[in-house]
Amino acid sequence: MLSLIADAPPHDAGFTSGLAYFRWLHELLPAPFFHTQAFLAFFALVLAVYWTIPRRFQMTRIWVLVIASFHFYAAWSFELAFLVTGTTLLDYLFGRAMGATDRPRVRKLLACTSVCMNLGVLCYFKYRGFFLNELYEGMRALGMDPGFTKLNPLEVIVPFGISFYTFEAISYAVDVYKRKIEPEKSLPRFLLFILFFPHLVAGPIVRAGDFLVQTRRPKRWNWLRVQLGVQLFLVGAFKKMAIADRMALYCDPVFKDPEAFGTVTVWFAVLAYAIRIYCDFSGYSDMALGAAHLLGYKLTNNFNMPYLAANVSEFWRRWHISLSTWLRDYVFIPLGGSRGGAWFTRRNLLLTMLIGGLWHGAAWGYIAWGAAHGLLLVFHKVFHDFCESRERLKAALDTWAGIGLRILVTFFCVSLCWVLFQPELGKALTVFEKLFSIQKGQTLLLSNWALWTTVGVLLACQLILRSGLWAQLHARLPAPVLGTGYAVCLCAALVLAPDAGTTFIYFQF
Amino acid sequence: MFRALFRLRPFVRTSPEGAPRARRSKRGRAALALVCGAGAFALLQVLFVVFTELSPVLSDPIYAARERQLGALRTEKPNDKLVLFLGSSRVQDAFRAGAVNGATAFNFGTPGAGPIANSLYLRRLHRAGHVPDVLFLELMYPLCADGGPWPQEGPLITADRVTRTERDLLIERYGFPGDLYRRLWRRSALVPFLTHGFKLIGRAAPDALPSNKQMRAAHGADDHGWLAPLEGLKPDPEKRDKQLAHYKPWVTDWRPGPWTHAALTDTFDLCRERGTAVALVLMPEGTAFRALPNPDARARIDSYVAELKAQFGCSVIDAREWFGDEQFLDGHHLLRPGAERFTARLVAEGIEPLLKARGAK
Repeated sequence: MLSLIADAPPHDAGFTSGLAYFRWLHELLPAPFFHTQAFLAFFALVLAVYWTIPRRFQMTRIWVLVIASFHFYAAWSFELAFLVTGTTLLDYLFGRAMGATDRPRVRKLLACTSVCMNLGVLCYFKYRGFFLNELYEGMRALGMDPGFTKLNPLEVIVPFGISFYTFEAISYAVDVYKRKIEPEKSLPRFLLFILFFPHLVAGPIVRAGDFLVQTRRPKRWNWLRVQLGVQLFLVGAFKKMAIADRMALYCDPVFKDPEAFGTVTVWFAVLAYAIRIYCDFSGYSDMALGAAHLLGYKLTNNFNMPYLAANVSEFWRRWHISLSTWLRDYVFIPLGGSRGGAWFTRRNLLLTMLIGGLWHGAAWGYIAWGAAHGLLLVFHKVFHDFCESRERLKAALDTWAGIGLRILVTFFCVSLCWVLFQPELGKALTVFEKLFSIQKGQTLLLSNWALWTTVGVLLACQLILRSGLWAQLHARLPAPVLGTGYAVCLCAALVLAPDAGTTFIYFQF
Repeated sequence: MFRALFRLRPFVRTSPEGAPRARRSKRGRAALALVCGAGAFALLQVLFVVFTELSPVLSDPIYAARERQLGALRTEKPNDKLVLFLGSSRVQDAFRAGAVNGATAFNFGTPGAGPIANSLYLRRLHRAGHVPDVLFLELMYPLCADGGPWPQEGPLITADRVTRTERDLLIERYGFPGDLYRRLWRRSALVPFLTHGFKLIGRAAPDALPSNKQMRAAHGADDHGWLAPLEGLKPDPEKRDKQLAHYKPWVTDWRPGPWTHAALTDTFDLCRERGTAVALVLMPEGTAFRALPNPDARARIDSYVAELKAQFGCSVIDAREWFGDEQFLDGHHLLRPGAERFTARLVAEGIEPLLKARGAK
């Protein structure tokens, strides 16, 4: 199923009847993926135009980015680009209206309207099919006539990145309502906050407080920043093309048809999937950060070596940081956070993670994934409290061996949870059945040493980064050596990319 | 004024380390790194493209592997007559060239090679100094079928496998779609690392590729180019049906295509110029394959072969009916015992007479 998602054709239907301009645009930029030649050409053009405009015309630069971002989305679907722009305009107006009044009830009403509108759009596009189909199945099971036909999930068009920009808009409305930030007065700046193409389709989820302030700073061409941007973009491209797409060769066939494969192969596929999803999503995030840096903007860092986390709680402080902090600030804390008793906190953790699971996709698999992580967090909290009163156990867990063991156990749990991270729960359960009962079956056409090599290289890179060795080395390397390293990194990404690349997993969310 | 200068000093030196200067030097270093990176990338790309233009090692690894093997054989026995068998995977699997005595025989069968690929290969071999004394040329008639505006071999000879000169030849002489093929060629030249990446991995670390993409044809052949069919394989009806479905549209109402005829003509002309004797070979086929062309098409195939024989004065070895179905894996690729029998019969009926006629011992 994963590859079904990954290989799903871009939404082309609208282009057969759409305006000629948008059809032409779609031909130029058929899919909003950063590692394609079409995107690189588009980005080069935007960069050239953006930096050619003199610094004093800051607002013109912002408009250029807004227009480019709109075209970036419209090239995939112009109807949905208008939808996103329309809801953004309404969010802007709600924000301005909240800023214009001091009456608490009116402000609350406006904030609720903005939140409901965004959630409504999200539910209509993302969850309508799921809920209607579940309702249909439920009514049929009870012997009732649903009165409507079942929707084909493949025919339901979910706008790219809808979960990301609706969450950004919701956080803006809430922050304005709570007076954490001032409502944005400038329309182009607000449009850029939501539509900025590096983060539009797959995050990171930016906060208005972090981003809008950057739109006011005059941007200067800074070689250090450009270098950082290029470096991030290259690392992201390498992660995506050379690692994630290669790992897909190990896991996609198995997750597509788990029945056919033997237990050992399925275990390898689970390991490969854990690597794939990390490199795919963090690779995308790195590219987004790199692209933003090249335009003079700084986005939130979304990953911090999550597989080196020593417990699940730490994992969530390192994985998809922009989402986990969003869930903490706008779901967990409003639910009461850990201010109540132990059971109250556990309930809140479970609820937050369930919402996190549902955010990823309208399917039981994602909900189960969220629930599993919620349970892991609860278990971790219980274990943590248990260890607090046992000094020797605590000390043992804080030794090198203890930390290593905790990292391994955390990685094991998180990897098993990834099995649930797919729309079809039935397939996930088949994978679990295969994992925990020795069964014979097909093996993959690939040799496992490439998988182990990838694991080794990835681990070594993370350890080098964590130890700070890379930071020291980077500062001392002569510029030509560093530059040649960039070239080699890019060439290696191109060489190692499998001939049939896949889309980004997180684009579906 | 003196005082003013003194006042300025701390302003210029904001920190003991001289931070503004350090920042400038960091920026300069960043710019230099980026320029060097872009330059190195461009240079690597250009070198790669130049390398693929000069050598087929990365662009066409199967051909390059065969040519290397042939070169090694020729170095061992430089005075031997050279018997070359150009053809498709049917030839590659079927002809154990090492069994030929009294001459250096080499199986130059490569997957998907029809008359156009064979013509290109013969040109390359001539350039590399390998001029055969006797050439056995497979007439892979499904690939000679008139398939509309483009030759059937079009999708098989991908743009990344050929040099610029060969690209122009394919477009001008063999009916390859000019705009599309040029665009594809330019694309492969623009991002050679992406285009040739899996070939590079296939050469450096074949295990990193799925086993069906490891190009066994390039690495698994014996010294004489024979890719021996695996031991113990049996006829596979499922594979046969798949192959039949693949070839059916080309063969059922077969007519000779103009482009492949041009390629065949060129091959014969090249051979005549270099004094090479040519024998056309129709490779063995199972009954289901033989039944694919309708009676009219079959008659057209036979008459086309007769025309070629008359026009170019070559000998023809029609091996289509040499074996029963039990000798084929999928209806047209011989199994190991079939390959041994084919080789023995070809040597006796085709190679030895031709070699004798050429004065070999």
